[in-house]
Amino acid sequence: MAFLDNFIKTPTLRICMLGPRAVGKTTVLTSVFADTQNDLAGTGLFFRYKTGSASDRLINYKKQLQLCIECGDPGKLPASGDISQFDFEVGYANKVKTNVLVKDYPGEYLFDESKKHYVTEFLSESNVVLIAIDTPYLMEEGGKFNSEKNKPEIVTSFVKNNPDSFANKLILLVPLKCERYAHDKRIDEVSKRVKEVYSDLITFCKEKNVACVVAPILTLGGIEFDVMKSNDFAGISTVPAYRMYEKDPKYKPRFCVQPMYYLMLYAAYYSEWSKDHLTGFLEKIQDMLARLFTSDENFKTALREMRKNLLTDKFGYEIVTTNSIFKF
Amino acid sequence: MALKVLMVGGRRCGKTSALAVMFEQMISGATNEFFTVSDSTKYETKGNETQDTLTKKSTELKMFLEKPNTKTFLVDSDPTNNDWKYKCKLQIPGTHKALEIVYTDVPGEWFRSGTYDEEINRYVAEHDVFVVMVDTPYLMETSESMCDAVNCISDIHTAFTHINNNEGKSAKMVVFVPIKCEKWVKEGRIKEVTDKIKVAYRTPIKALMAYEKMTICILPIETAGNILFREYKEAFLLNGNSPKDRCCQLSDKMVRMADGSTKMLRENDVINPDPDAVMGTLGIMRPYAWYYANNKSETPGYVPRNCDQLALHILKFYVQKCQMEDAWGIIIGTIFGRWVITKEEMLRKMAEINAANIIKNDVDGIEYLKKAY
Repeated sequence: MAFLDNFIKTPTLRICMLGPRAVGKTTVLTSVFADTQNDLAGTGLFFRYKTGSASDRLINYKKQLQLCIECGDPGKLPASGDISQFDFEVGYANKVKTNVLVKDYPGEYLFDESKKHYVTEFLSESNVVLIAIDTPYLMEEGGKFNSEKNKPEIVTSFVKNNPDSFANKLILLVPLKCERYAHDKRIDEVSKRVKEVYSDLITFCKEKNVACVVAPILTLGGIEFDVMKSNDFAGISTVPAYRMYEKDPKYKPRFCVQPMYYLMLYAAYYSEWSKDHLTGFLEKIQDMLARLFTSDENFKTALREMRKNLLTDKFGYEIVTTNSIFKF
Repeated sequence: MALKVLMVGGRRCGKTSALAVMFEQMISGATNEFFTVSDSTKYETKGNETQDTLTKKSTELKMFLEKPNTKTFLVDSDPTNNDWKYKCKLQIPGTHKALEIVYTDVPGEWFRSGTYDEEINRYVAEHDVFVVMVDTPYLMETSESMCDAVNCISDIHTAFTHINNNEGKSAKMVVFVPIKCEKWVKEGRIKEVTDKIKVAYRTPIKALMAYEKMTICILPIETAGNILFREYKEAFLLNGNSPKDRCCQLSDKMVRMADGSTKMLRENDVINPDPDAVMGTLGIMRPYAWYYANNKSETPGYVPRNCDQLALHILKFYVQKCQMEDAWGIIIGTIFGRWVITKEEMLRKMAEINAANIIKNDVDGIEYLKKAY
């Protein structure tokens, strides 16, 4: 049956990450990786980096984050380096069921004509788009620094000008560095502000069958935003300063598994929806064989558990728009 | 045919020392009544590194205890960069019939670098028994993040996702082995060590619990008996960069060297942080653990404990596995010209060992979290 194994491809789910430079996307992925590993332990599902990919650095990066936070000096947070592609595997009982490929594009690519096509090409193959939002810039001082940093107008314009790239997708609007607002019980204000600032994008999603979810995450836990400080570097006029949140700070990411849950569930919904939307004889045959040989009740049970743990209406989470695929 | 055991753990945690003492206790201890045990390792050289003999490792430990020793010293030896195999032969007395247990010692360095992931994953997929060595002082006396970094907990968890249990048909065993735990044994606190393992390793343990037919056990061992953890100190090097130059600062003008001797610093002496103790790119230093010899023990000198228990529990698991899965090919075979133990002989030996009550359970911190059978 080896020739059939080669014929049936292991599916690859794709997340396209967009967001401003130095928002901490590698830290996001490190915390998503760590939180997902922890959350899935005991379910039978595994989530791991692909052997030989640069993603193995996430484990070392996580250790550094842990050590840094516990030593109590937020100034020592490590720089994330230049990784822009992350390869993971999800599976059950040592069998890989799906690959997960995450690509990270800096915000500048969206208005650089020579680089925009990298984003649209990957977007067209992606299932989920994750738009990272630096929350202190969004929230502080009336959001007056938000355009400079998060560039919501450019992101919205890019989405609206490339409707085909976003068709049938799920957009996750992900405010990061929310610890201070979560600790102050203001996380709902963050979600409300996201909806205000990205209202044009949300309207577009409603019109074009694009699902959209606000999904705040706490990537570090033990550190929170302190104040905005003026800055003369890297084209940003103001930068946030952070402080340790508690006496014995620990690395405690929260909700970072949620983007993975949304991805996996969206892909499951998508595969059901796509049954009636396959084109081409070969694609139909591949899909039929995949169903025949890879239907796995244990994996499906694990997905059902994931559905139960999905946040949709608390801790700032909100499904702002659904579509014909993602029926909630 | 051979039973295969994979040994994993952080750098310098003492995997090879534990193997050395385990072999020694098997050869001269209670197991001797049932099997003639010998070291059948074919020692190798890879590149410019030669495999340490087990005799050398156990001699190193004994050296600290051979005469009254009042110093505070380092026990950590040089880390190895290669994977080594050690073979323990168990022969039925008076016959040529034997079986071998092959212990593959994976260097902790492999987990740190990420370069050897393919090798590690291949080893994990091929083995049935995994021994996770736990450096107990880092488990008990440092932060969770330091323990994770030193004991490579996250890396081991990821590696274990490659365990191949043949869709639930094949039983596996993972043994968490706290080593260097003499201090906590002496203080009557070994249960705290076992409980801390369950916390520090909660994610990999939770993941392993989801496997069908998985045996998970915690089994503390003492490789020396009277070498106890004393304290942590920042790691420095004095005037050089070899292991003998390792030291810690006792004051502005005095250092303690790795062998426990103290020195006054002279004007030209150069003391630098030990680059080997640096963790990642942050400049955060792993402190070194310093030890002392317990000269006031009721049983002074070199008195290892429970190291043979590791081999016995593994052997018991394997025999159960062979019986339940009818997979005697793991232990016995029909190799032309070689004497092999038969299934009946093996079952009889295990019955004798069980009847003799030499396999400990629920004492000395030994605890099963899950049993495959």
